[in-house]
Amino acid sequence: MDLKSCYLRLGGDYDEVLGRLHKESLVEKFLFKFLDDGSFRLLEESFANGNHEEAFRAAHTLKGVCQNLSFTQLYRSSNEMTEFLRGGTGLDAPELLAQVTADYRQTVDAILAYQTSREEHG
Amino acid sequence: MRDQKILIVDDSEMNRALLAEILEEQYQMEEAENGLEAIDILSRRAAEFSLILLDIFMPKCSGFEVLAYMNEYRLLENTAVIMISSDDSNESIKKSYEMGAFDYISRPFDSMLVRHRVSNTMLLYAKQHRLANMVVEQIYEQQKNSKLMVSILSHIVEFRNGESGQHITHVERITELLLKQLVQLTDRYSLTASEISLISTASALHDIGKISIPDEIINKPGRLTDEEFALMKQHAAIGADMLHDLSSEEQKEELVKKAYEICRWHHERYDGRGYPDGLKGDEIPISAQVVALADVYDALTSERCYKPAYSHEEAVRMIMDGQCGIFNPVLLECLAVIGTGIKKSKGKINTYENESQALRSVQEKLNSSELFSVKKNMKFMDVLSFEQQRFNFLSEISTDILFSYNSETSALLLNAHGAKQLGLETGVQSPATNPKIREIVDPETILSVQEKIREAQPDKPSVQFDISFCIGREKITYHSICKTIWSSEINGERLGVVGVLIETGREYQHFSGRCLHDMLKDGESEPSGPYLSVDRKEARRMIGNLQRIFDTVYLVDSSCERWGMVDETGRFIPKEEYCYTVWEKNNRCENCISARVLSSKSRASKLEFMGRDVFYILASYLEIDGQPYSLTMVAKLAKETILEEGGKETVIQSICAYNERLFLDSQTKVYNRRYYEEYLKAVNREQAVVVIDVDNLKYINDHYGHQAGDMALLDVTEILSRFISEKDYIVRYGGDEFVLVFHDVQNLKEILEKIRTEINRQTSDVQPGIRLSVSIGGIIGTGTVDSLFSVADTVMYQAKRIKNKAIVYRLDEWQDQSGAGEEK
Repeated sequence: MDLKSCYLRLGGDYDEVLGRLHKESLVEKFLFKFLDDGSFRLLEESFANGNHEEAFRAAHTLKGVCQNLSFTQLYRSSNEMTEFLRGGTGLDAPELLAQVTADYRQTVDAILAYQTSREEHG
Repeated sequence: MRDQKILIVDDSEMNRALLAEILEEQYQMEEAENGLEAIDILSRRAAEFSLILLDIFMPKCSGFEVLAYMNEYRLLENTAVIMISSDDSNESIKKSYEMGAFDYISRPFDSMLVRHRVSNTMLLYAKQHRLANMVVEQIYEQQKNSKLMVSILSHIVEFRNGESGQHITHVERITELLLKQLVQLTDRYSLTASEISLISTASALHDIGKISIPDEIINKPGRLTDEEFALMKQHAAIGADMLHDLSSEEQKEELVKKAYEICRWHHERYDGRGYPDGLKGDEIPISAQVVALADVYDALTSERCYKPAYSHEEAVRMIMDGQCGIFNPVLLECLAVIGTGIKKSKGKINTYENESQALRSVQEKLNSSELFSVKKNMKFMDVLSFEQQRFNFLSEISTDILFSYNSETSALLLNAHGAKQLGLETGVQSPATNPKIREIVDPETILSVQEKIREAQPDKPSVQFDISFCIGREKITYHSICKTIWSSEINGERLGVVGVLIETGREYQHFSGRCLHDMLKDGESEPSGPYLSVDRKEARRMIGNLQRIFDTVYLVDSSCERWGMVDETGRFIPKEEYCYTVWEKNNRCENCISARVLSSKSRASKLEFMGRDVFYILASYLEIDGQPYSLTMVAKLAKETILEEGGKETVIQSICAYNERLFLDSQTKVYNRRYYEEYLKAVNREQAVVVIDVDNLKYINDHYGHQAGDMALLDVTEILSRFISEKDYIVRYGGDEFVLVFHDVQNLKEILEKIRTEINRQTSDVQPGIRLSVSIGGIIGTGTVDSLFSVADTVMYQAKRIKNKAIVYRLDEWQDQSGAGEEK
């Protein structure tokens, strides 16, 4: 699997990210770095703890990261989440959270699959 | 440059890492993961950082709080802040700007744009910083100047007084000694060191009022009569009035305030028996009391035309005895204490060695009124960043090609229009080797441009060159005027180039009328996209808003000549004069952008020059209640914004030459087809359009040579121009075809008949055998030039068939006639 098909799989825009960052190696580096990014975990935790402020910040950060990496699909749901949290004080959005979680899983899975194929092919 | 350090403040580790990755080749980096950490770092080592990339939403402490902290501790003076924002935070961006952020970068990051913004910000901030220093110097300079001015003024008085030339400096020195002694003896007057120095300096002006006292009184050797003394006494009030006449700005100067006290009251006495106001005791400002004593003491110890010099001891005794009026006892005490000090210092007082030279230089300074110009510079500081933003804004919507090249990042940036014209992206990496550039510019040109830029020097930063681009089937030549930018810190380090491309020519393979027409279509600056159509109320509001951005905003109506403003209800109120009179022109501008936008329903921009000023003019098609107008916005460009000093003249010449080359026929110097297509054809009003065809030009060319043909054309245009008024147009539409557009349709038939017979009568200087003949067809009516032209062209062919008669129809006559013709 190459980078482009990885992006296809996670619902991102590879041409757009390469157009901005110019180097494939840079895109790859930050793609892997995304696996360590804690903003999604923070979002989940904040929902569990009922901490609205933290949840907003986490969603906002996640959205920003997705924007920078052109993860279009996850960007869309995390953006929606950010806007939802920006407005009110409630955390009652199980469908939104499920959507973000699904998109996050899909993104991480795609990156992991790409990582594996990279390791296998040297 | 590697020594410049950037602080990245963002709560997302990913974002920090990405920015660091993008910038680490050029700069040193440090990261902070929230506002609190950033403030902690800044509180200890703010000076290390040239720039901060600052996220807005962060835990613990937001980007705004960091900005507020930086404002409070004046850290923004040396460290620029670029905000990192997501697309959703327009309000935040506005707030950031208000709080002193310099720029913002929005996610997602484009690596080249980030590098470019950062490097530009550093450049501009350094410039502002230099400017700030300049202002400080200016203030210092002003203080020096005021001191010098005081000295000059007082010496003028002294010169007239015929005094020793030392009196002023003596009084100044004695005043200073007395004041210093005074603060030691008592704290009654709470004088600071700077006040003492101020009063001493101002003391020199105590007698400036004597300027208006007649010479014969001032220099009278004997005693003054009562009348003469009464006149003499006026000098105190007159001197004060002189200072009172200064501008209110100048009167706020502490020095001027003190001088006023001294002038007016240095003849008051402690017992209330002095003049002009008879003030008593400490009603008299301490400044005036001290100077009064110093004045008297020095007068006694100096030789005057009416008296010898007394010794120090004698003088002190006379003063103590009250022979010169009553003084403040504390001051007398001071005088007694410093007595011997005065004696010593009097011998050592310095005078201007080179007085006349100093006088001249100060007078020059006064004349050029630099003395009180500090505030102006301050204002300039404030507007600089505004100017910068405005220029960025203008360049984005400009229809000129503007570019900047950053040596450090090897990035070429084009404004939106430029990129479109050249078929490039707005950012081009490594232009010299970039394949997209090499596709449209030949390698030799690239080399020669590089060579030209390399030859530029910091003292001669301007570079001009011609460059041709092959775009599609066209070869477009531009003249480029640009400026290399040099580092202020490292000698000889070139930071980049900024410049503008001015189109000077287009070549097209098949130069026929049809193709030319197509070409002009392609080359139109903007496609006629959706344009603005508003009602009166909206127009009024929109124009009001624009007036805050631009220096002048006005409308030009569809005749392209009437200009004016809307009133409160949004109704167009035309002025009496033509719009080109605004630009001090007698004729319509060659490069009339109002006509251009009215014909293409788009936007256009240009530079206009008046005297030494450069204006950026932007015109935009606008319909108000369905009526077409050209909304014209004018911004005066600060010289610093785009042009260097001295460079302007060449720009003016280039632009004029460019307009001429572009819109005048090179042979006959009347307007060319391009002018017709771009500006003239859309003009819509009641008018006459006449087509004139030179019947035998081809014959002349073939039989007598092109030289003779050219001469014949010149003869024709010369005759045409005799019958044309300032408001009319002559266009050489094709090789042997001319179009005339008449504003005034009276007597048109007679005029055209005269033109025809004049041309017929004309015999060539070169070839007496040549006789010219023309066919003339005209149409009078209301409509666009272009629609009338197509009818006039048909009429002209009718005239060609009939021969020896100019034919003119009114549009309605023609329609009846041609309709009837078809029926037959």
